[in-house]
Amino acid sequence: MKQEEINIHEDWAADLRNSDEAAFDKIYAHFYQRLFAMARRFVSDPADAEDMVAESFIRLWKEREHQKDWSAISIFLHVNVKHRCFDWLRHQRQRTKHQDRLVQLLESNADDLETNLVRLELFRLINEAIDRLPGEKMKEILLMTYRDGLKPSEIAQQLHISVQTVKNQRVKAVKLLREAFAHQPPLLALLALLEWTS
Amino acid sequence: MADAQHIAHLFAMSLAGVLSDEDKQELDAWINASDDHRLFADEVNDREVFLSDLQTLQPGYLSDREQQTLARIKAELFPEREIKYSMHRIHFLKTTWFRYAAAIILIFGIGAYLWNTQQKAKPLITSTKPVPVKNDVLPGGQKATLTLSDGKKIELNNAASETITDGSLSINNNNGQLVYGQTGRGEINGSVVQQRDNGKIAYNTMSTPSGGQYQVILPDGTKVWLNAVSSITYPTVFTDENRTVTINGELYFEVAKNIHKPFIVKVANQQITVLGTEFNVNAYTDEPVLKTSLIEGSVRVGSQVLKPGEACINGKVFITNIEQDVAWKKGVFSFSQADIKTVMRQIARWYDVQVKFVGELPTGKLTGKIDRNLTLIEVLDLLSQSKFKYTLEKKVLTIFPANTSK
Repeated sequence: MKQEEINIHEDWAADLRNSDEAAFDKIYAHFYQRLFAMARRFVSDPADAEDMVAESFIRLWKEREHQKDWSAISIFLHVNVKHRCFDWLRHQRQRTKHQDRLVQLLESNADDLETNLVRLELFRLINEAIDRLPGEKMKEILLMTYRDGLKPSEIAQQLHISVQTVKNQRVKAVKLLREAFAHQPPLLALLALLEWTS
Repeated sequence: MADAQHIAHLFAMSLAGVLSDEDKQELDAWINASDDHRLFADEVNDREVFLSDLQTLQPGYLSDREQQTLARIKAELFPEREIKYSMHRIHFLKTTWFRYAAAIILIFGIGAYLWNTQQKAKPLITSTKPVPVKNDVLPGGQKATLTLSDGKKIELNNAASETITDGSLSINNNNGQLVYGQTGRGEINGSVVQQRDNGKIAYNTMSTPSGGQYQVILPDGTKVWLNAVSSITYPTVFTDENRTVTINGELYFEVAKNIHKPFIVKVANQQITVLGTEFNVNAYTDEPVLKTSLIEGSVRVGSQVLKPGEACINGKVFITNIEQDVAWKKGVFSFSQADIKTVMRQIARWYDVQVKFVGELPTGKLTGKIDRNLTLIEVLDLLSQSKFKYTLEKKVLTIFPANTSK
């Protein structure tokens, strides 16, 4: 963590204590995604998960004067969201085994900060990889296969290409995606493994 | 605390089935470090759980949510303000989930799972046909111009097979390849005919335009590949004691063995002498140096003798990255610590566009490979990566610094 980053965060924390709404917005932007991702881990209904995050931020504003520093804000938000998740889980009538384990986790008060970030990052990598599939045709063929459940012959018919092309494109796409994941340093573009160094 | 990005990357590789043993050890260690980590690893490997999470963790979805939730928060904190936001809960678009879940399953090779669970429900949003991007430029193709010994010019395209005649000589043009009679002699009625006109040797020239590439098999069987904006002039028959050709641009040679007749390449003010070999010459006038790279065999550049894997620039010999030097022939751009101007020169030649730079030049060096068969916009999107912005109008590509506000 760069010194500048730390300083900026502490500035925001100070401004929040002084009821600066802009600082609140920045803090929100900084934490929203990871808090939502965390809530979604415990709470299967995305709308409910969103409620929890929203409520926590509302609490934060209401208790802004008591937030000592950046670390305090981070802990406040995470703990707040987790408590709500815990309540939500306990109120579920029938829990799955997985949900039981989640309850256990919450009860153990484990520090899951890192895991949240890993989750967020993993999904980002995957989304990025798909997004970077070259050409609309390849993406379209993939989606038609798995989203619409079409057979290669049906896809070929719709897209006016040969069945072999459909099959080839699918094989190629999977190969590219695997290749993309296989390379160090971190995943970048498909086909082109590009890295700018300055 | 291990770097979250690094661990995420390990998980991604694990899901794709490409985790090395060393990395697996590292990932296992992380997983076993705590209950939380273990639980997370189980979630990732449990398709149902993982995919249901994936639904909502998509960039577009997240940012929409983010904005709306903030509006909601403000509306509750400051009711006196008039803040608009949609009151009802937004219902989750199933199609969005399928779109990504499907692709993920594809990556992780568990298509069977999806077949089992997928309902044949009609998607809410019907798929639209992909729209070609306007102003995009197709990659280069097989294009060249052949100038015959009498000066007549013929356009060579990737068209069907054709035979071109030059005097009494027959040349075959087929699928991006121009082929001369293998013996190097024109034959009419079984007797050898020398291509001489007033005692002069007849020459042909093949040249490629911007956005073109071609291959020619010379009268002695030597194969030559021409990159864009390149040319080669050669006699229609190699009658001299040497086989001499003159070139410009970037060409790849596979020279036919003939110990009795050295193959000589004249370029700029240099001379490359060859004995049955494969090498690449990069002699673009707008590139800073003339580079000759040897793949196989033996060449003498000026007075320097090269061994395979070596290149010669300005009389200096050194080990070169051969893969990179000949990448163009394999249909790939290959860059190693290349600055943006170098990159754009290659782009300009292949896509036949003019490149302009406005404002500060983006700094940074590029390393990597790109398929030459992509369209220009596809390549630019891969290249730009927040390092620069661009506009493409007709055949002019303008590069702006990344922080330009549009």
